Amino acid sequence: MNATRAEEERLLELLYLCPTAILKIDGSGRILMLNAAGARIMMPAATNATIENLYDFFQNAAPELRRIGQDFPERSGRVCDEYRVLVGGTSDRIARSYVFSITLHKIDDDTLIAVIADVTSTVMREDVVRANEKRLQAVFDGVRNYGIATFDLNGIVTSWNHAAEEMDGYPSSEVIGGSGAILLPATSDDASGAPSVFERAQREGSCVFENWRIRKDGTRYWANSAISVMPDRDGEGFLGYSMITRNVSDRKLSYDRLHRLAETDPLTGALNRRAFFEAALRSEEPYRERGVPAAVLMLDVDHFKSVNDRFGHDAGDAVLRSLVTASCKEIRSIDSFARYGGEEFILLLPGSDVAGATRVAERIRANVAAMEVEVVGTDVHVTVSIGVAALAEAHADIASTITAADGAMYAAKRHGRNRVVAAA
Amino acid sequence: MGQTKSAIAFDDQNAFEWLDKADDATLDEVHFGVVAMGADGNVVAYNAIESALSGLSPARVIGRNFFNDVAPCANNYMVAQRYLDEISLDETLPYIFTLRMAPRRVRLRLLKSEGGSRRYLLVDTLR
Repeated sequence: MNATRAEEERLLELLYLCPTAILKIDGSGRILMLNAAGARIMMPAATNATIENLYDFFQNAAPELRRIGQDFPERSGRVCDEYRVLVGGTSDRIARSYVFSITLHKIDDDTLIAVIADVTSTVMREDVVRANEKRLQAVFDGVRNYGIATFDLNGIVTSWNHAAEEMDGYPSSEVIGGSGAILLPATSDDASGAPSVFERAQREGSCVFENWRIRKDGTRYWANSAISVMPDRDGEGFLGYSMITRNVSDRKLSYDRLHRLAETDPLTGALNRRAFFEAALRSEEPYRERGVPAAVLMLDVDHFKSVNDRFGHDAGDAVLRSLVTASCKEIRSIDSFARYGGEEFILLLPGSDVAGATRVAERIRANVAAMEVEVVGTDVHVTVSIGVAALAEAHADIASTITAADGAMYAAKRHGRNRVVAAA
Repeated sequence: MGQTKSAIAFDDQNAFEWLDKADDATLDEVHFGVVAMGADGNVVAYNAIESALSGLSPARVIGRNFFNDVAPCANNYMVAQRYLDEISLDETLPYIFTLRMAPRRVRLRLLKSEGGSRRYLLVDTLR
C-alpha cells in the first residue's frame, strides 16, 4: 500500500508541476479535475474568484465554445485545436486581457479533456511584429520621392521600392539580385584606397553622399543618399545596408550656379584667383606624397594696352573673352584656367610635367594667334606670351612654381613675345 | 476523535506570532492548511492538513520553492507576487486551489511581516 501511496504522490506531483493547464470536464462544462497550471493561469482572469465550469468561464469571451463542445457530432475525437480566445481581465488589481489557447478533446458524451495555455505574451509579440511589419511595409511602398534600396553585405541589392522604380526607371526585377555599384559613386579613380560608402557606413553607422544617378532611359539626376548599416538581431554584426535616396537636382542646379558665381571671373567666365589657388594647393599633396607632377602656365596678352587704347575697353574685354574660349578648347575638366589679373591668365595642369604642359601652351598660343576678334567693324588680332613651370625640386610648392612660370613668361616677352618659354 | 478545537482560528489576529512559536507537532493540530516558507520562498514546514489536502508528504515538499516547485496554482500576481512586492502582508482572499487534481474553493491567508524569518500561507477549504 505504501508503494501505491508513493506512486500516487509522484503522479500528483507531475500534474501539479505540469506547465500547461489540463482539465477534465463533463458534458455541461463542469470542471471535474484541474491541475495547478489551470488555477494559475485561469484565476487572474476569473470572475467571482471561481472556476467551476469551463463554458461559464468563457461565457463572455467565447460563448460559442459551449456550442462547439456540445454540438461535436462524433462520439469522441478532437473538438478544437488551439482555439484562441481573448478574455478581458476583471480583477480589481490589474485590468488586462488574456489570450488563451484552448484544445478540447472529447472522450465520451460526458467527458472532455481540455488543454489550455496562456499565450498572451506570444500573441502580443506576434502583434507587435505584425504591426511593425505593416508599418514598415506601408512606409516602404507608400513613400513618394524617397527611393529605398537595401543591400546585403556583398553589395547585392535585396530590395527596391516603388519610389525607386519611378525615380530611376528600373523595375525591381531588374535591380534586385544585381550589384548595387551603379547606384553608388565611383570610389576613387586613382586607386588610392578611398573608402567606399559601405566602408564609411560600417565605420560611422551611416554615411551621406551625393552623386549622379543614371536612369534607365539614360537621363541623369543628382541624388542625395543616406546609407545606414542594418544591425543583426543581437546588434553585434551587420545584416546589410539600407539606402534612402532623394532627387535633389533642383538644389544641385542652384548650388552649382552659386558655386560658379563665387568661383568665376564675371568678365571672362574663367575661374577667379581664389578658385585657382584652392585647386592649386590641392595639387601639392599628390606631388609631395607620390611625386604626381603638376604644371602651371602663366599667360599674358601681348601689347594689350594698345588694344584698349586703339579700339576701346569694350574691345579689350572682347579679346579677353575670346582668349578664354580659345584656351579652354585645349584644357581638360581637371585643369583650372583662371584670370590672374588684368590681361594675365594662369592655368593649372594637374598630372602634367613641363614637356606636356609646354605642348598645351603651344596649342593655346597658336589658337590665340589665329583668333579674329570682331570689334566695331574690324578684326583684332592678339598674341600671348606663355611661361611654363612644373612642381620640381627647385620649386616644390605652388607659390614658387607660379613665380617660376611668371619668370618664364617675362623671358618669353623679352625673346620677342608670341612664344612659349619653359622655366629651367 | 470527535470535534477537537483547532489550536488557533484561521482568522486569529495574532496568528503570525503564534505560528512563529509553533513547532511542527503544534502545527499539525491546526484545522487548516499551513505552509511556512523561508525568506527564499522554500518550504520549511508543511502541516498535516495541507499534506492531506494536496496528497504530498512533508518530506517531498520541505526545502522546495513553494510557488515554483510545489504549488504552481498560486504562482501568479494574485498570490506569489504579493509576497515579493510587499514588505508586510496579512490578507485573506478567495481562491481556487487544485487539491488532488480537483478544483477546490479555498480561503487563502497571506502572512508576511517585516523582519520575520518565516512567511505563511494558510489554506482553508470551503464547502
